[in-house]
Amino acid sequence: MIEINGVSKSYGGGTKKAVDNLSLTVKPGEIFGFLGPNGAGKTTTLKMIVGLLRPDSGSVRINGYDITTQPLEAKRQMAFVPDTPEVYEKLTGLEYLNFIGDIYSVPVSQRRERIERFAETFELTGALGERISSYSHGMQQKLVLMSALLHNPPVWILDEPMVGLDPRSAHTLKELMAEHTRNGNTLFFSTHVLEVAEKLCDRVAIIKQGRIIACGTVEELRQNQSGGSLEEIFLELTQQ
Amino acid sequence: MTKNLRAMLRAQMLITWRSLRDNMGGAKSKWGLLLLPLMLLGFVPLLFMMVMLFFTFFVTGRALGYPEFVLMVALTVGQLVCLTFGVFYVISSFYFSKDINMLIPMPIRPGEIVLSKFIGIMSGEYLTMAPVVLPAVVIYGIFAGVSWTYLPFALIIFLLLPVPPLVIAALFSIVLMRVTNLRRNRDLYRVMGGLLGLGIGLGFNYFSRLGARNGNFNPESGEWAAMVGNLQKVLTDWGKYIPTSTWATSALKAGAPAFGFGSFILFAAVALAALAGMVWVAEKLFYGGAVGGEETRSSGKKLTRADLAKETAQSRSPLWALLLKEFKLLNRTPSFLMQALVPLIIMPFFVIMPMTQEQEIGELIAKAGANANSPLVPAIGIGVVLFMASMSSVAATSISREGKHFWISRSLPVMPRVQVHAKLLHHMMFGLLNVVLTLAGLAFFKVLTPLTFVYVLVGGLTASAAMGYSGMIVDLMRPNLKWTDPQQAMKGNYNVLFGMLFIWLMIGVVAAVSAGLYFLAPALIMPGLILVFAIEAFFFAKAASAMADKRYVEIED
Repeated sequence: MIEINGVSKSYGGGTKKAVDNLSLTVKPGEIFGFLGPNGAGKTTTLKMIVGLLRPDSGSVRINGYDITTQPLEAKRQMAFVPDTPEVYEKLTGLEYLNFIGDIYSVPVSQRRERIERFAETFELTGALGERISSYSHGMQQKLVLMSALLHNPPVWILDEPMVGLDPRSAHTLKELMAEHTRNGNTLFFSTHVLEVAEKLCDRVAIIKQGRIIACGTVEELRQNQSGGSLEEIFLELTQQ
Repeated sequence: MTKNLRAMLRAQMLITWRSLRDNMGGAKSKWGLLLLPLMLLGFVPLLFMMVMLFFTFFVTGRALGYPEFVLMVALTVGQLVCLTFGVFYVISSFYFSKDINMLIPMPIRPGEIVLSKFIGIMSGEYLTMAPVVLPAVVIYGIFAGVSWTYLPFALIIFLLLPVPPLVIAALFSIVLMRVTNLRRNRDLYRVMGGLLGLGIGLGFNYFSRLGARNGNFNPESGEWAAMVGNLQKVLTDWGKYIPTSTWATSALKAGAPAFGFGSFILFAAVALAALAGMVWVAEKLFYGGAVGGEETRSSGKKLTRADLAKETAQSRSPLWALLLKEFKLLNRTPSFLMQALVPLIIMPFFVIMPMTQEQEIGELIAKAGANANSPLVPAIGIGVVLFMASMSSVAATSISREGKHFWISRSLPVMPRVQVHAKLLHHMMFGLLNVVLTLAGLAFFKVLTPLTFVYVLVGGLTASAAMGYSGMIVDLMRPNLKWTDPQQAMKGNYNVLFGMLFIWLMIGVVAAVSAGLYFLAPALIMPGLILVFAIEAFFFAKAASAMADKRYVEIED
């Protein structure tokens, strides 16, 4: 579960408010989509959830652990995939996965089984012995996804996870996301692909200028607006 | 052409100015401003040395009836400096800068791109050339009785001086990049640059020692007159190959411009024609070397299931995994590795080089061996370890080196203090190498007793630990994570300098303690020193740990 309570974040010495008193809860077993125009505060919110940015006020709890006061416990509960897959280019894919496995103390047998499974799923087995610097953007994205899933955390936080993935890998990821939440886990992700959000998400929130302007199931949003697709709702809400 | 060129130059100037402002003060930190007077102060001895040297050349040259010899030397050396460094500046700027991939798809001619970058490099070369050329031009201007026209001619010649050597560097680079795949081997290129720097450093050291032994800047010395005579002959011979120096000297010598006007026109015309020639060649060849080459080669080795099973058969503790990561990342980044190893390679050279000139090494070893049991031997050993460690940049850049990947360290479920300890262990690998080299040096001089071995080993490692933590404290306070080229993370990192100052402060404390012990209880000097190092290491470790826990949260990259 992810609990965000009254979180705010400003840049430039408080002159630019990126996130303004944001609160929401993502329940276990739920896929939660976080939508908004460029610069609305999506990535800032995600980075505050995972502890890469400190909120000016408010709190974030991951499965009951406060990210500010219990950072290690909170980090063990989650996996984060950033919007740009930047990992150590001088390591090979397998070396990076082994590094993550060691850090999260993933037992050898589970590590091997998961690496084999995910590598086959994402068609990366042959490339794992190569330096990451030789990977394409999509391959790096797949590797970051694999590393995030390697320790099988209950909470996934993904920033634009479909960017750079080929259609087959994107489809596989969507299946993995659904499977993950079916097992009672939590998934929070940001996306600009509204069709994916509409099909996949149990609930969505739309953020604009650091504030949530709509939150609920797609059906609930439809009832509150004049109907139509999620795209039409998004355009209507973000134009106001 | 002018419109595009103006736009590119404007953008280049803005970028240079902003990065300079961010580095020195402004956005990144005000700390850099503190360094400015120190850096300027650092140039004073070099400038003084140059003025003395050129004055000697002038006086000796005048005595030989060739007063403009000083100009000939300065203009030739200035152009050679431009040529040597120019090749690396040109390749970096023309082919490895980030903006190339953005500029190529734009409707800009290759000649315009090359010319705008060339002007950017040239403005940097003025700074490189100034300490060599300006003192000579000023000395000649003051003492050779030139007319007022000397000043504008000297100014124009100074402004045009980097053009011929840089054009040669540019043409060489354009052809080299067109016919080789060096653009794919950026690391190889960086190592070559590093080796050249090392060679120049060692050469400078060798010749400055030779010069110091031979001349001591005495203009009356007969040796100097002979040397100037020889140099004059060499320069006359070289003049055939570097005619621009001869023309520029003729244009500036006393009596000019009336007599040297023709030489001046020749010099200026050749410089401008060379520039035009470079643009023409760039139009034909530049894109051939610049397009592509961004792709990184794969090893071609496909991982099999058996390999995968073998490679995942072992699990390690987080500390060990972090150490292994540090080790691999440094070793696989040639410019990092060079920077880490150079102090360890260079020191033995600096020690051995003057001895080879003395040709009394056997006698020296015999003399040293007789004093093997002196309490000063382990103290000197530890002094060498301290000096070499003060030049190491491994710890003082350990956070900066993470660069854009620092987010990974910050999101790991491992206490930042544990991550800092892993970085220290990595630094200690170089510390151990440093101690081993020092012990080998002591053995070479036949002064390594068992007790000295223990003192240097334990003392050296404890001191290395203290220095490692102090370096990391500096880097944690002000990491440089925004680098785009690995060289900026280590070589261009002020933290190395701050770390060095910190270490010298520490050495001061150690010296004070050992001096006190020398008078109170000489037998306790070495145990006392080791105790001081251990106390320093303990407190620095505590401080670095606490600071890491705080800063890993605060640094929002």
